Amino acid sequence: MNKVRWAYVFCFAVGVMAGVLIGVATLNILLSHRIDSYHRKIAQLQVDIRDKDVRLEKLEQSLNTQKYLLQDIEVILLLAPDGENNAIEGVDEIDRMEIESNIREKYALLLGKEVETLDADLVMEIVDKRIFKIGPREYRLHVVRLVLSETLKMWIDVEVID
Amino acid sequence: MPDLFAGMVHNFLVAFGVIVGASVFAGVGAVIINRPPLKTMLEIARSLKIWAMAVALGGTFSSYAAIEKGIFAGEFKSTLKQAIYVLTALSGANFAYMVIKLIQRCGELWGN
Repeated sequence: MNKVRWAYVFCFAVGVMAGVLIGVATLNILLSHRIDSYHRKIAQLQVDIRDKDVRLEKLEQSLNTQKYLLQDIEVILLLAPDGENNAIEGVDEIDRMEIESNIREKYALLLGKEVETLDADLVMEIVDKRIFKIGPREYRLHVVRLVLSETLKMWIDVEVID
Repeated sequence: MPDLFAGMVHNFLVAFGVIVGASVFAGVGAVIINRPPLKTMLEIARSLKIWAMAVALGGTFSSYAAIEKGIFAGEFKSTLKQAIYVLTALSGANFAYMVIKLIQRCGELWGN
């Protein structure tokens, strides 16, 4: 009798464990895309906050000067189309933001500086052919075009190195 | 012939299961450690494809031994059989990767 009772308890425990595993896996499949989108949004917002903080700090420093100053940095990443260069379709958004943020950090020192004192070639050399390692992947950057005015605008080609 | 078919079904499903199971539970792990689950699932599925094939073939060198036997002992039938098994396992792994990508596509449709 006691043996039968233990058998029921054992079956119940196995059922619960199987249910938990199946439930967790199913829920994960159903919600993974939404969680990913929240991660992307959080990363984007963090990048925005960091940029705005740096910009605000630099602008505060150069306040009340009437010179032609570098006020903003705009980075346009030219990523390989989906599937090319081993790019994983649609999910490299976080890596893209990370690369963009790293590039902005490299140029953060230039914010608030006089545009006339900046050398476009030197500015370009800062990230050109540079390799970024994000998670398991490595990316090499190639600066395609650069416009230096009150806003530093750069078009950067991103190559995935496997 | 039934043996060949049984082996093909077996290899296909083992490779498929390795990828799907590993990806789904890697996704669960990613949620626990606060990483994007779908991205993790796709990365795991992509990187495990070749291992899934090795697992499906038995995780041993028996297939390679059979291939060697086929080449050096003239048993081309067994080499062909192993080649079919390898291809079936590869298809299973790729099909599983497509299923994981399908989750992403469905999520995009559902999310918008």
